[in-house]
Amino acid sequence: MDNPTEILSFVMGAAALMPLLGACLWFWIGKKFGNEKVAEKIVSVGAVSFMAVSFFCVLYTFLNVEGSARVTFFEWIRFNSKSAVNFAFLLDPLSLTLGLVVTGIGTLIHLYASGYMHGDPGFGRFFTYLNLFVFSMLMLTFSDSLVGVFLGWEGVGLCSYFLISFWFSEEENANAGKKAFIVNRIGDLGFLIAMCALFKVFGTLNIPELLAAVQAGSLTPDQLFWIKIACFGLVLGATGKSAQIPLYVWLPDAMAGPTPVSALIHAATMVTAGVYLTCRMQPLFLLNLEILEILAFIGGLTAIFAASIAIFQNDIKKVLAYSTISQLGFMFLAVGLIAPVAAFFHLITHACFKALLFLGAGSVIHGLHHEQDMRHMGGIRKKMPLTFWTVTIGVFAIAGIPPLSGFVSKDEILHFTWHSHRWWLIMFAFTTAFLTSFYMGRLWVMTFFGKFRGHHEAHESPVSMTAVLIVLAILSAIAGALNWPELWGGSERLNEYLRAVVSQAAGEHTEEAFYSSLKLAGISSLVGIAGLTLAWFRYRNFAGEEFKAPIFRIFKNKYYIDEIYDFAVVQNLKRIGYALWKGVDGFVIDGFLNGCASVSTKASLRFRRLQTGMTQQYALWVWIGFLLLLFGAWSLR
Amino acid sequence: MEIQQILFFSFAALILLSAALVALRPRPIESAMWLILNFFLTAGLYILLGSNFVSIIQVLVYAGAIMVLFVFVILLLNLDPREFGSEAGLPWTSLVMFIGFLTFIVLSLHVATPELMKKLPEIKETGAGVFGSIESISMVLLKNYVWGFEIAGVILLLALIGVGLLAYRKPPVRARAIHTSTTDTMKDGGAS
Amino acid sequence: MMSVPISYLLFLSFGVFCFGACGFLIRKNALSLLICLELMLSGVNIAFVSFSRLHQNEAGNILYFLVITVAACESAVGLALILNFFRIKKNIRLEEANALEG
Repeated sequence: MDNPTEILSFVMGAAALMPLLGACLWFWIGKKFGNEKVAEKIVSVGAVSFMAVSFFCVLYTFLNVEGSARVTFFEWIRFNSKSAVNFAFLLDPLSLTLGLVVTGIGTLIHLYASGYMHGDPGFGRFFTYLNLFVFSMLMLTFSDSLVGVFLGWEGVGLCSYFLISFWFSEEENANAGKKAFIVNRIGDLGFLIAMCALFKVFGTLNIPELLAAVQAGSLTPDQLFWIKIACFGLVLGATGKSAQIPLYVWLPDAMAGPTPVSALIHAATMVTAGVYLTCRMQPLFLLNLEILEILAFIGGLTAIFAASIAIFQNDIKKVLAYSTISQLGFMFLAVGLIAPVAAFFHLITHACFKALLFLGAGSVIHGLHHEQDMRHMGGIRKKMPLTFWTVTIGVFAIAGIPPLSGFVSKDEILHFTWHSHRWWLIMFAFTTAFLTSFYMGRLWVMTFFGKFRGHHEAHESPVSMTAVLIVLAILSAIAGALNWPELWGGSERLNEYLRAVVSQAAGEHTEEAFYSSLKLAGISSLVGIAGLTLAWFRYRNFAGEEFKAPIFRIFKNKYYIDEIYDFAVVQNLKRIGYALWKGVDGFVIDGFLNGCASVSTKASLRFRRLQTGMTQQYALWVWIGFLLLLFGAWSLR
Repeated sequence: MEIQQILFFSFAALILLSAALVALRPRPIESAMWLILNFFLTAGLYILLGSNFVSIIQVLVYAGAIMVLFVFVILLLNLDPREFGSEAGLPWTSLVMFIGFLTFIVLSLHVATPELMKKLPEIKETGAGVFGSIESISMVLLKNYVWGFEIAGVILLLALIGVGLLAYRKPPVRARAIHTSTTDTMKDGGAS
Repeated sequence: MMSVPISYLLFLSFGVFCFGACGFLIRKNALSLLICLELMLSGVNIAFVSFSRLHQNEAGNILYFLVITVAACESAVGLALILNFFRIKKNIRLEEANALEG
């Protein structure tokens, strides 16, 4: 263990294996001790400490890796003498940053969940899934080959399914899990197509070799065609996993899972996998600028679309779910405009403030005895002061109030959008910024202000939950410092750090640029404040009335997208399935088998007459056979 | 035509005749008797072929030991014609005879080639005595084929054990019952 | 010594074998079946001894010994089986042995 690579491989191995080991242990312990308090204590302390170990391992690597490094654990799949897929980790700025987010936020959420899930019969099971998720997510983040990324990709999808339908005794939850799983399969198909196409072109699936081959240039038109196919596949995969149009429909339903799950998987980490993947594969996309254009458009459209739905949701978690979709749309917008650092910056800040908001919502839900409808909340800021203040920071951050983190990262994206001179996208982005602050203000006001409209007396959550909220609130407030723009006297450290891996247009440093950026910042913060103010006046005295005009029905019903999908896809699939069942399975296959059976029954009714039981007759048959063989041998001579 | 050729043809004719009678006589004891005759004639054929030791073994083991076993069992069972079973009908018999004849023809077609029509060579002196003599056979048997010889012994042993198992019958219940109680024998007398 | 073609000896061997086989199928009692089996083995023996003579090689004669070993075993076991059959059925009619009937 004296050479740095060995230390690195040991540390990273520990980082990945601790959650896996945990996943094996907690299930067993949860089963072994049943529902006792001892098991809960062991599991919660164990899970949190395992996650903390994992976090510190990643942190150690982060601090000790100069540039990027690769650690290989063992050879996994060998294609031929030249190329093979190794079980290896690629440690570069991109993966280490995401790894820190995953393990850091993951640790906090584990701590929170140990309070939130207190007394649940599936306590051990819950932490098993959660740890398995973290392991898969680390695989996705660090693997140096697309095969490994795919393993993690499927792993997080599986864990997401497990956790959405965690309370599977209610059919609604089970259906939500199934929906998420099936919709994700469509995206995974895109990923698989991309993998096949890339393997066809380059004969390898290791990401560094792939990207090196792309950057070396000199590709034939045929290869470029396959790379375009691969990019399409990756975009499809990203839209599936990151809940973008047209595959976003699973994420709102995914809120059926426990709130820590929503915070960790469906806000902070898993859904950002698509952003991560597109950033990781940026050189491929740079060869296909029109696909980047499509990606930006998808992102912008998703952002405004989801935000407009979020305004009309009454379930506090549904609002946050659509908000997540909308913010992910922002990230894709940035990726599409070749601003991956801005996307990644927004990913990090979003992980902080959206986890904070979800956990805050969870705290409210916990305090109100599993009441999720905002119409039955209100006026609980006095009862739950810690939750109120932390959520306030989260709301201001996402609404873009300077100098909180959300302001900085969103402003960067708005800045890039502004300079792209694409009016549709600019309109989308600014409208979304306004809608975001409006629906977040609505959530904030409806939950914490006005009269209490609920049934149960609210109470503040335990300290393990509020402590996490405070930590996340501090992070949400200060995370903007990571990439504070140079124009305003910042250092843009994230930009410097990530530039080794991804390329992004450098900002100008002229006075004109300074004023233009100030102007933009002013507009975006004004927009944010305007949204919040409007929400304050609109909902301060909320007493149950809603938008009555018929035009709003379309928003309320989420543009009828679920109904359209149901009509266009699901029902047709069911019809095809029915036809296949009745036609192919029932008629062709069963008919064939029954036909075989009846023919052989009839034949054997005839043939059984040969079975006289007289062995001498059997012997005669043997003899005739022997005679025929003899004759055949003679005639062939 | 030499005297030995005449002898061969007459032996061959008699062997075939006795074989036919073995196959066609209905009663087992007749078949057995014709088979013994067939074996003696075959032994004579072997002498003509120069395999003297084989011919003696044919008489001693086949015609002697094995056939005595057959005859012994036939006499032991002492069957009356009803217990032999009915004879096969004419269609079945003629079908079987026809198939047999065809087989004979096809087999003969296989060997009716010019090089097999050449006459047998004269007997030469082998390394250990004349061909077919006891020295010659035993030299080869115990040198080259000693494993086959041993395994033949094992097979005989196994057959002995198998026959013992097959033919063994538990002593009748009555024999034991006499020792235990005298009253029971009256009730189930003759049952076993 | 005798000088006839080998094929004549083989014709004889085939003839004996075919008579044995015919008898095996025609006869309806188990004892005759065993006797015909011996006849078939005897036909095979004639072929072995003839080839031994043709090649001036003792291997054929040694095969003869192996065949009669097997014949002895087979007749002993077969007769034991027939005895058991007779004990059960009180006859040796092959029509009674039709448990294989489908």
